[in-house]
Amino acid sequence: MSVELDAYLVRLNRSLRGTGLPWWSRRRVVAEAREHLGQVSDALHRRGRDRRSAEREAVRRFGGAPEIAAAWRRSTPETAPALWVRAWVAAATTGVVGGVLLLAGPGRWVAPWLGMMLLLPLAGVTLGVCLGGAQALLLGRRIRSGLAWTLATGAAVGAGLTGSTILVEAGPFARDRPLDQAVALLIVGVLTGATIGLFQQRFLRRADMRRAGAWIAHNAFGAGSGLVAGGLLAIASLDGFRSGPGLCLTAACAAATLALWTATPLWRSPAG
Amino acid sequence: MEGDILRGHLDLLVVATVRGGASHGYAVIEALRAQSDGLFDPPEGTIYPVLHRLEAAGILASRWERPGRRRRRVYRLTDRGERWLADSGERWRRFSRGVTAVLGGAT
Repeated sequence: MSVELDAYLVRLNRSLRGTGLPWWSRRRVVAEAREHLGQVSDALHRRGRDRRSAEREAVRRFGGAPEIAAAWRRSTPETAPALWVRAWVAAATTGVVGGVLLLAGPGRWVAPWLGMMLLLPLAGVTLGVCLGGAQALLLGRRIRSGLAWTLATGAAVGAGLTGSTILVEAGPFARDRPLDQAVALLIVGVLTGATIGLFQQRFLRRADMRRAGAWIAHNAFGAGSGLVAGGLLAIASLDGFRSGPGLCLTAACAAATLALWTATPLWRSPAG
Repeated sequence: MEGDILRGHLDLLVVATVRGGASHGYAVIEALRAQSDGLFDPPEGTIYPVLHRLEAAGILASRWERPGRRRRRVYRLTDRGERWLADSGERWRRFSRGVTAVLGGAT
């Protein structure tokens, strides 16, 4: 591949950044463009053109990078509503489950640790199943295996909440240092989610889950949000932390998780 | 051919060419050009958003293959795509008959 074609592909990749395509789709688009340009220039070369002129003609026929980017932009608006649907579903479900946990949380149970062990994982799986089910229902045309998504989200959030319970009750993090706890919980949550994502990607490949990155991100955010929400809610419930900075921290973590989750363009992953 | 008119029907044309045996982007463009006697000749790169969109809709499926020196992203029609093509083709033929009849009456 010549310097000229490479330069064109760099320009194309740069132009595609503004189209809303996730990086893995951009990579595939550029790879397909590379192969296409190679085929066309080979064909022209075989018909008698010199190599350089053939490559220039291949680029001309392919279209200018801004023109191709515009075609991608026109092609993607139909996915835009999915972003808002996704954000809305995530916010609504998180709000409902979070509210229930705050109002009737495990701190009010007779045996708080037992309550957390039972209630948080249950709430996590419920949250995950709601999210996954809603995604499958609302985005069914793009997510071809709704059951797989439902199970994945349930597993991720459930794992996160279960992990947080164990860490808060038996872990090394002092309960009077909520910031340290939140950071540690988030790290463990993301690692847990990434591991689960890798396994799911491996075993559910035939269910159209072909994008490892999407799976990992999906589960990392799921488990991360579960851990942070579970840990902070546990602190809030147990230590009367509800009206202080803990609530702000909880809200900030929930907002950050929601933003990350929403920003992950997962609706493209099954087809990607 | 006006770009806007072609754009409105590109999905159907692309699916029809894939059904007819064109299996990768370059082949789809070549088939479009050849079968329309050069009437449909969009910038070649604009075919890929269409292919990706059709794949996202479950009408096409694709994978990388390496038949020779070069690898190719090979597209094929899914079962859903077969149904979609039959329905859309029939709708287009009805629409086309209607337009032709109206234009015939006007000229």
